[in-house]
This record gives sequence, C-alpha cells and structure tokens, in this order.
Amino acid sequence: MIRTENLVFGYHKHVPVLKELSVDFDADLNVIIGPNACGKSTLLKCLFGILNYEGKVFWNNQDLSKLDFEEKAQLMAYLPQGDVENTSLTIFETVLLGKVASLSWKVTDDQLDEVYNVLNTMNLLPIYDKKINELSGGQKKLVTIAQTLIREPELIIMDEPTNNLDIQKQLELFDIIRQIIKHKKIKFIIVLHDINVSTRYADKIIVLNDGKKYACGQPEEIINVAMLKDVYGVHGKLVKDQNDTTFVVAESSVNEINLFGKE
Amino acid sequence: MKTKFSKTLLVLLSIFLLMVLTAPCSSNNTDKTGEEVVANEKTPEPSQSTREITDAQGNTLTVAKNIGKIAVDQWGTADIVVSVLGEEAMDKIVAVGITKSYNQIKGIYGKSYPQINNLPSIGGGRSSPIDAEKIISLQPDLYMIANYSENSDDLIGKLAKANIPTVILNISEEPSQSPQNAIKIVGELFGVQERADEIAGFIDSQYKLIESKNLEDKRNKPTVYMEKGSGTKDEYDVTWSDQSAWGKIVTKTGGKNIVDSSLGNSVKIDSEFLLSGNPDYIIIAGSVGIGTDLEEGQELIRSYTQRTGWQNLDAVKNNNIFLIGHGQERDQFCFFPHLVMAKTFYPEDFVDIEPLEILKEFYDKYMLLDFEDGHWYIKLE
Amino acid sequence: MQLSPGKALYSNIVSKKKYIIVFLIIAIVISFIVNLFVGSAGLTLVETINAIFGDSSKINRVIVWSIRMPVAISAILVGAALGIGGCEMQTILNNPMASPYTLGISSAASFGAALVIILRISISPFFDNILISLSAFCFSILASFSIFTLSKRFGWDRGVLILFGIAMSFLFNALTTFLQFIADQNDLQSFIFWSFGDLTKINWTQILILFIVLIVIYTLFFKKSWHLTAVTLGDSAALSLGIDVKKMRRTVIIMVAILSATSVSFAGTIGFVGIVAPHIARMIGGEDQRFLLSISALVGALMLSVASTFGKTLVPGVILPIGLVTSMVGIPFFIYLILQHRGGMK
Repeated sequence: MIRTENLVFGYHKHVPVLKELSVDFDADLNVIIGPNACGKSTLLKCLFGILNYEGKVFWNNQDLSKLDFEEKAQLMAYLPQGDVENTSLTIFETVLLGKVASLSWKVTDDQLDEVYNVLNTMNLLPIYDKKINELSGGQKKLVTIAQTLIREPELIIMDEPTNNLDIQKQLELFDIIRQIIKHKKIKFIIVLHDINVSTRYADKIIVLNDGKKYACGQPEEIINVAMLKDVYGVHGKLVKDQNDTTFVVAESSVNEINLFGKE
Repeated sequence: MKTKFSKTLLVLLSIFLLMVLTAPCSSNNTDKTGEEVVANEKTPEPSQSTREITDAQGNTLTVAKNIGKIAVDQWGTADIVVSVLGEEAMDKIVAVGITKSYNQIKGIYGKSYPQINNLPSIGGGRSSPIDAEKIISLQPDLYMIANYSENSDDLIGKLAKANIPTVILNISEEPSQSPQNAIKIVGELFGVQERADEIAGFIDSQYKLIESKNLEDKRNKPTVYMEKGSGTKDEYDVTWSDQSAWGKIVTKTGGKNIVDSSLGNSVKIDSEFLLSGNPDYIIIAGSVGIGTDLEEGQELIRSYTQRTGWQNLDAVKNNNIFLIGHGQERDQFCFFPHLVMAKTFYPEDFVDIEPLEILKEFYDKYMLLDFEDGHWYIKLE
Repeated sequence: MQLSPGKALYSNIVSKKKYIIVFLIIAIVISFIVNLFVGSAGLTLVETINAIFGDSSKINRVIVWSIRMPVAISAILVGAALGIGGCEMQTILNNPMASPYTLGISSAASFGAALVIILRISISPFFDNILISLSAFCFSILASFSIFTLSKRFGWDRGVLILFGIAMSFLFNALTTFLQFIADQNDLQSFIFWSFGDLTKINWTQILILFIVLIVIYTLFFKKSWHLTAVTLGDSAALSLGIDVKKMRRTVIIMVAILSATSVSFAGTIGFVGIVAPHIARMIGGEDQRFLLSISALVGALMLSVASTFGKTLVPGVILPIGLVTSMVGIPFFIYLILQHRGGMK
C-alpha cells in the first residue's frame, strides 16, 4: 500500500520535523500515535502531498509525487484536523461534495442514494437539510467523515477524527470504520491521541517520537511500560481485558511538578 | 498541463468564432435603428431646405436653412446665441444643460421672458449625463455645445441618429479669438452674419486697444498671483500657470505670473512659495457675474486676506486684491478681464478707458440681461 | 417507478432553488420591459410598443432602440457580470467583503482612463473613446497580473491576496490623484464623467463584447461549479477532495479580472452590486454554486435593471448615475435583509 522512504521535512530550514522517516503502512487499520508535536499531522500532510518533502512516498511501487491532487484524491482521502469552515451548505450537499470528481450538472439517482445511505449509517438523516454553520463541532466532524466515506477511496487518512466526539460516538465511529474495512476493503491511516482506542482497534501501530519512528508493529508488541516512559514520559502499567486487549493506565508523569515548592 | 493549454486555446478560438458569427447580426441591428433612419430622412427632404456649415471643430454639418428650435449644453453657449439673435433667441432655445449657476440665470431670464421658466431639464453638470432621450423628444433642429470633449462623442452619435446635428463652438480654445469665431459660426447658422461680424468686431477692437499699448514689452512688470475662488481662509485653491487661459490673460496684459508652467498648469501651491513670491496683485477668479451679491464677494476677498501671512503681502497692504468672474476667461466677455487687468497694472496707459463702461456698452448693445443685473469686478475695500 | 430515497431528500433542497431562478428571470424580464417604457421623452405605452416593433415615427424608434435599449440591456449584462465576479471573489477568498473590485481593478481602470484623458494621448479623434476603454482595460488586467505574480511567492494565501488588492487600490488611487493634480479643468471634468458608473455611454459593439465575455466566463465557472462549491468548505477540506485550491484561485482571479475589467472599462465603477448581489443570492439560494452562480448573476442583473429605471424617474428631468442609485436603493434593502436573516436564525 503506501510507504515512505527517508522522509525529511521541516517548516523552517535546518529544523526538521520529520527525520529520515521510513514507514510501511501495510495493515488495514494503521494508527499513528505519539506525543504532541512529534510530527504526526505533518506526516499525514506529506503522505497526501500538501507539503513539499524530501525523500519518497510510494503508492505500491509508484512515486506519489508524480500525481496531481485530483489523481491522488481518487486513491486516497485526507481528512484534516479541525472543522470545516462555516458555510451555508446543507449536510446533504456537503456529503454529496465528496463525489466532486464525478459530479456533473445533473446528479444521478445512484449518487443521491449513496449519500442517503451514508447519512443513514452516520445517523445524520434526520438533520439532512441543516446548514453546516448551524451544527455543533461534533456534528460537523460526523459530516466530514460521512463526506470522506462516500468517496470510497482505497485509503482514508484521518487526522484525529475523534476530536469533539463523546465516548459513545468514538466507539461508534470505529465500529463503522471496522465494517467499512470488512465490506469495502478500504484501508485506513489514522492519527490518534488515545492509546486505548488505538490498541483496541488498530492492526498496526506506528509510534512517532521527535520526527523519528520509535516503534512499529501490532499493538501488543508495541505498547509497553518502557515505551510509555520513553515516548510519553509517564509511569504507567498495562492491564488486559477478557479479550486480551492491552490497556494503558498512566499513573504519574516522569517530570516532577513543583508549582509551589517541594512539599 | 498540455490539456489545459489546448483547452484555453479552444476557448479563445470559440470567442473568436462567436465574434465573427455575431458581428453581422450587430451591424444589422444598427442598420435597423440608426443608419436606416438617417438614410430615409435624407432622401425625401429637398436639398433646398438644408445647407452645409463647418463648426469650430472642423466638422461639416448638414443643418436646416431655417433653424427653429435649438438645444444648448449650458447658459454660456446660450449667451453667444443671445448676443447674435437678441430676443429671438429666447423663442428658439428649447433646452439648456444644467451647470452650477443654471437656476440663477434661468430665474433672471425668466423674469423678462416667461417662456424660459418652462424649459424642460435635460440634465448635465458634474454628476449627471446629458439626457439624449429628452433632447431628441424636444426635436430641436440642432444641439450646440461650447467645447468639445471625448464625453460628447456618445451623445453626438445618438443625436445624429435622430437627425439632430451637433454644432461645436469651442469657445474656450483661445480666449482672445475663439469667442469671436464662435459668434461668427452662430451668425452663419442663423443667416445674420452682419450682426455677428459687428459683435466680433467690437470684441476685436478691445484687444487691439490693449495690443496697441505694447504691454508685453514693458519693463518692471508687476507680479501677479491668481487663484480660483473656491478656496477658504484655511485652504488654498488652484492657481494657473502662463500656459492656462487665465495665465495667458495676465501675460497679454503685461503682468508677470509668479507661477510658471514647470509647477503644472493648474496646481495648488505651497503657501510659502506665495509668501516669498510677494506678488503686487492678487486676482481671485470666483463666481462673479450675473446675479452676484456684492457683499458676498467682499466677504470672500476678506476671508482670503485672513490667511496666515497674507497681511504682510504687498498686494493686501495696498488693497490690490480683487475678485473677477471665473468663467469669463472662456467666453465672449473675456475682453473685460483683459481690460481690467491692463488698466490695473498700467493705469497711466488707460487713463480715459473705463472697462466697466465698455462692458456696459456691450451688454446694452448685444445682451438681453441688464448690465446692472450683476457685478463684474469687486476690489477689496 | 419508485422514487429513490436520496432523490426525494435532494429534491426538497433543490426544487426551491429552481423556483427562485424562474422567479428571478421573470422579474428581470418585467424590469427590462418597464425600463424600456420609462424615459424623459414621455412616450405613451402604445407609442413605445409601436416603436419597439418598428411601426412608428423614426424619432420614437431612435429613442427606444438607440437610447433606451442599450441602457436596458447593458444594465442586465453589467449587473450579471458584477454578480458573477463578486460571487466568485467571495468564494475563492472566503471573505464576505470581497467584490469584483477587491483586487484593485476599478482603481486601475480609473487610472488607465485618466492617463488617456488627462495626458491627452490620442491616435486619432475617432479612436479616442476606444483608447480610453482599452487603456482602462489594460491597466485592470495589469493590476490583476501584478497581484498574481506577487501572490505566487506567498502560496496564494487569501489574506495576502486581499492585502495586495488593497495596496494596489491605494497605489492606483494615488497615481490617479496625481494625474488629477496636473489636469486642466476640461480634462478633469471629462475624467470625472468617465469615472462614475454610467450605462448611457455603452454602445452596441461594447454590449456585444460584454455579452460574449460574460457568456464565456459564466460557462467556464459553471463547469467548475462543484469544485467552487467545495472551495467554500475551506482550503484543506477542498484539498482533501482533490481540488488544487491554489490553481483554482489563480484561474478564478484571471477570469474575474477579465470580466470586471470589461465591465469597468465600458460602464465605469458601479459599486455595491458586486458585494451585495452574491449575499442576497446566498441568502435565498444557498451555497451550491450551480445555483449560486446563476442566482448571483440574476440578482445583480435585476438590481441594476431596477436601479436604471429608478435613475430615470427619481429626480424628474435628470438621469441619476446608476452607481448612486444602487447605493441609495440597495443599502437600506440590504440592511433589512441582514436583520431578517440573522433574526431568523435565533
């Protein structure tokens, strides 16, 4: 699927954010985790080619920098962090826009039905004609996800899609993603903050630290006490549930916080 | 990239094709409206009732032999017609374009010639275009404008379609010659060349009088500063160089303009420049003329003298600051400011000449309005 | 046949917009006819109808065909051009204050005209008017291309584009003021006449050119209407949909520049319509560009057509410049619309 070779990128000269990063996203559901400012979002932007990086990004064995946005958009969908801008488009129209590459003046019934189905899946049907600028942050996120899903690309790249979603919605979202992987054969690369959500759903976890790959592999191989300490700077322990899924319980920061002097 | 380029090419090509295809349609359209009209009108009319004249712009126009109704762009143009035709002009003029003093002058004419009160508005002035439709609906035999400008082209074209020729007088081109030329054109239009020649001769003789004194060759010429009369106590208005109409008058009457054309022909100057120049005479060209209030004029001059530093100017100390009608530099009354300046600068050469008397004579002989209806020249008291 | 569930929902959203378009077209036709029937010549209804169909005195035909018709048609064309230009500038800059003049096009056009009028540049008297329009057009295009080149360096950032536009306006205003400074009275008057927006000076050839440019640009925008709609979601959202936002911005700027430059060089600067028409269109028709583009054009055309009629009737005997009328009639109406709209949301 998609992989990078010696990827280097910096927003300013001589201050690289990504340092010779070589990652192979070969699983169905790849999750990138890591502390703040480790280069997770930057990596996604490089994968989609918004930023001018050095090194190579390959789609199977094809150099991605040779494709333009329209061609890339057919292979993969990139769902950036943050909300869409306020617009008076309705939810229905916004989701329909996911099909922008294949839309013409007359919208076909098939296309409209696809929108209907996605709205149905995402439970957005009752508010289909609400305008985007009248929605809450969580609803906006659902609309963007719906817009991405309707495109049925081979790969969906999501930057912290669970922001603004409550716990139930987060779990629902990943159930949806799982089903999509199963039925539509779409692969995912998702940046997440929540390690526990990652371990529950990911097939492969990539841990980034300071622009470099710290570790990469199946959740149980990766998640351990040493990683928590090295990457996140926390003391913690691991717990397993009845499904043998590993959970992290963070207990204290490595750094001592002494705001008002030592007690 | 390549496909983009060919797409652009395709678009350009199609624009071109459209233009070629639609061009005949548009010309048919104009045929329907304009040219056909002109053609139809021309053929049935016998050539005895029209004749050709050449206006000041050099255009040859076909006009009616007996001109009944005329429309003019402003009262200044009407004044030329009035001087040539006298009271008859009041019956012939069916519309006058709006200018700053439109209502004032209309009111004064209206007192003696009630038909003037009913003149319809055809627009005009700074903020509204002349209404071609209104002029056409009035059906004048011709439309007359004081001076040509590119803006007139559109109007002239529309009127031409309705068979209304536009006579351009170019009154303002050369202050000491163009008005006489305009008068002669109007005389020819109405078949009263003798009267027109008489008026032009009257004006010419005033310039001959001034030229006979060889003022331009004088030594120790008095220095002069001119300013447009829309300034205030605090703000200077524009002054003119010797290349402008007012500047030429000063030169011709033996004055020395303290502003030369290197500063521009129509500029607001720095007050320091004026104060250090310390002119002998200051001339304010403001709204003086028909219907002016004497006290308002004095007030305007006084406000100028209250400017910072002006009390030290020789011109102000000696009360050599006066107000004269702006606009006269571009009409047939231009001989008057010439005479006033010449006599002011060189009183010994013009002992027995009274500019105001000469102007009164002109008014009594050739104009319908009374000389007493206005003030022409106000000196600081 | 069973209606598909998606289509059922979608037609709820779209059908209203179709009615709006039909309504606007009818309104424009009516205002166009009224515009033809109103004028200082005081022709009666029957006289005007006869004049339109050629069965009348030549004078009446000239009045209707050579004077009223060009104004009535150009009001619609210029209005549509401003509506389209404003709509797309607001779209690609994601800024409700944007207008066709945002990138300094009207100031540049004024300067171009002033240059010819005041410096008395002339090939032959016959070409003077063409030269003025041509110079105005060239300088508008020049201004856009300067912004174009400058913005390249800043990655077509929206904020930078707007700032350059402001800078360009100030620059050309300053240059024009300088020209006015050295101008003599008559030329100054000529220039002032040129610079205020006025439809009476447009001739048939110019109408034809404007019409072609309008149709071509409209078609190009229309073909891109889904992409333009996607741009309203924001730069990154549009990017992720596979739209090259920078390229989009580039082409839209060029096309709006050509369209606005054409209308400005023929009709002068007519403010307000370019900002307000797209707003009204958005309020009544939503953001979908397939409709927004057309509705903006139609609202602009209607506004200018009505304004043109008002200009002939508000002050009897005087034709008010159309720019003045659009502001006088339009601004209170616009404020009312904003209040209605915001009030309805709460």
